[in-house]
Amino acid sequence: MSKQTLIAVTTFLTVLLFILSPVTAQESSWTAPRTAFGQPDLQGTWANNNATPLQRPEILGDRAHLTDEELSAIQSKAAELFSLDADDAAFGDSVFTAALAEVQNFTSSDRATGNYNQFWMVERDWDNRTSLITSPKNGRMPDRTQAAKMRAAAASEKRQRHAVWTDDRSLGERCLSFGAPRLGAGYNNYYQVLQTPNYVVIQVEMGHDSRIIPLDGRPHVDDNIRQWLGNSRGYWDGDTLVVETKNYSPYANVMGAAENLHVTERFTRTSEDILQYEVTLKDPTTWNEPWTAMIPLRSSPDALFEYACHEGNIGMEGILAGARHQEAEEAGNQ
Amino acid sequence: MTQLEPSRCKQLVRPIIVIGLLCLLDTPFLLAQTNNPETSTVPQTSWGAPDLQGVWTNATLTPLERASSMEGRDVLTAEEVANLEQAADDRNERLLNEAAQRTDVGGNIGAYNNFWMDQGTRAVAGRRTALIVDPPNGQIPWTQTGRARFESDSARYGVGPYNSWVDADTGERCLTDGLPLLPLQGYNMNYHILQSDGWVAILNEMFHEYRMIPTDGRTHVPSHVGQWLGDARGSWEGNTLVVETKSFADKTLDLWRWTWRGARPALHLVERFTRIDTETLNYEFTMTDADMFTQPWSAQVPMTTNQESRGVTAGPMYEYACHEGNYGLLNMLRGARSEDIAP
Repeated sequence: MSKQTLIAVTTFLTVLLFILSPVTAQESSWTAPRTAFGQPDLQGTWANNNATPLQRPEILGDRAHLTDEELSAIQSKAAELFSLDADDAAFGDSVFTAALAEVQNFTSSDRATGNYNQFWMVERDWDNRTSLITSPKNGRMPDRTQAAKMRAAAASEKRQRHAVWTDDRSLGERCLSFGAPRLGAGYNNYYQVLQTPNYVVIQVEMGHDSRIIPLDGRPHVDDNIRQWLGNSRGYWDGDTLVVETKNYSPYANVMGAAENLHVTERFTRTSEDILQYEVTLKDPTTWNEPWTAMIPLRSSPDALFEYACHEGNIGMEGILAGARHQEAEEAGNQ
Repeated sequence: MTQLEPSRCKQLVRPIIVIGLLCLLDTPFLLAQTNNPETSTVPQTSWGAPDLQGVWTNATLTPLERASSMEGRDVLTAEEVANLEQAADDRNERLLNEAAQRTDVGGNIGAYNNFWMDQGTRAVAGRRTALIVDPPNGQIPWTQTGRARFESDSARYGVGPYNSWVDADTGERCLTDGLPLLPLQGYNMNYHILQSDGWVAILNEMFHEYRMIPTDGRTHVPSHVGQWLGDARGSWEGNTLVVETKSFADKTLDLWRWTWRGARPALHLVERFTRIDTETLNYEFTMTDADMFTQPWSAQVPMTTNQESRGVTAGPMYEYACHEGNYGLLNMLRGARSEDIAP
């Protein structure tokens, strides 16, 4: 094959892939199947195992898509980095960012004791996108407000301190809430959707959590009623299920936002295997502008099981015991 | 749909231990498919299944087991029921008007006060003396092993020792009280049932605990996949939803306040849900476990969407907050350590 032919074939395949990619599938003539009561049928088990990072790595500038060659190179590097079950587990964006940066070895966030190993993680789905964030155009979360920066700094400082008790640690470590919406991938990012004429149920494997969302037009609950997962109300906009959520607890933590957060989620089935999930987060006390991410959720034949967290949370005991030990050591050194 | 107005928000405290949050609205919850009760007493979904959807309560005065004073009697007289219900109303009224008292340091610190409770003040239809219908004596048919375990668990519950949080019962630890659905804990006895073609979801207000039950004929997961709530499969027998649950995890080392509900591989549970009119769901279960029971045993626990008819607060359900406010467990352990030092 001549070089020109190769380029032509590659270009053709690139164009074909682009046409077939889930990102553009909603523009096809495909129509979602209907439930017995006439709604677009979004039911099933859906997975977010996307390798695409939430935020576009700054080195990629304003490039929303990789070329196939670039994608292929990153995939190869990731396969090399995370080939062994014994490797450090890579959550969320880290598979993509580590491979892009061509690091020699990947270490997880906790350098002292390491983290899960890769055995626990899923295989990722790859496409040419460079960020899940679609707005702002740079594919990155907007700047935080001054108040949000101060909250983040205080939280960071708190994490460095010895934990006096469980409530010095994060909501996830305490098995309380993994939040909604959930955007990260790699570990228990499976969702089951069940529909009735007046409700949609979204079960989240992580934390064995569920949201039961009324679709009957009732108003949100009183502003004084605050919940970890907020208060959700849904409606249909054509074939798209729209869910508006507010009334988050002041103790919630959705990427630094809490009681002033307003989330709009849009679920659109764009093919047999893809549920396009678009989410907009708006909180003027946290970000200078609203931002939007689009995650293609892929149909999965797998079943969801109970998520056991709190009952096996020996890590929390270890964290507190470690903190007491460090205090005793420091006291002895004085 | 009727406008929903928030009425009150009660914070519930499980005896000594757990903080629950129950916020209820005062508009009776409207069912999805009950528009035309005259043509059919059992509503159907648009895909032709019996419609069991709604927020149901099983709160009642009727006890699970027949009291020894009722030995040999299946039913109460109408007068006895009226007296019991009046006594329950009077008690609630009296406790509501009673001045709050500060407990003394040292002695029995007491538990929740009655304000937080939502026990139900009405007997189930039929004036039965027990929810258990089989065996006919209305008692759990313990084997010797089963009874010994029950008595040992009962002696530990609320007493200790408390060397670790795992010494507290599974409910106090905010994990679960187990299955089946029973009105035992005195509050939050509400269940939201939702259906689609092929699935039934049941959200239990207590612990914000839900089950997703396939009704599409799929097989059970392998028995070694043990779960706290087991592995449930549903099927329809006429108007009845039959849910068979097995593959419970082995959690026999944990303390269960209601021993018979504890997760264990030998347990086999069959639940039957039958909607008999617009506001009544007959719930019946049969438990089998040859280690614990001399025979399978069954109870009938009718549920209603008409919360007021059972004397409990009406409305939809909210998040149940348990683990995050569980200072009681911390204090119990702290108290035990204090006693270790100064017995």
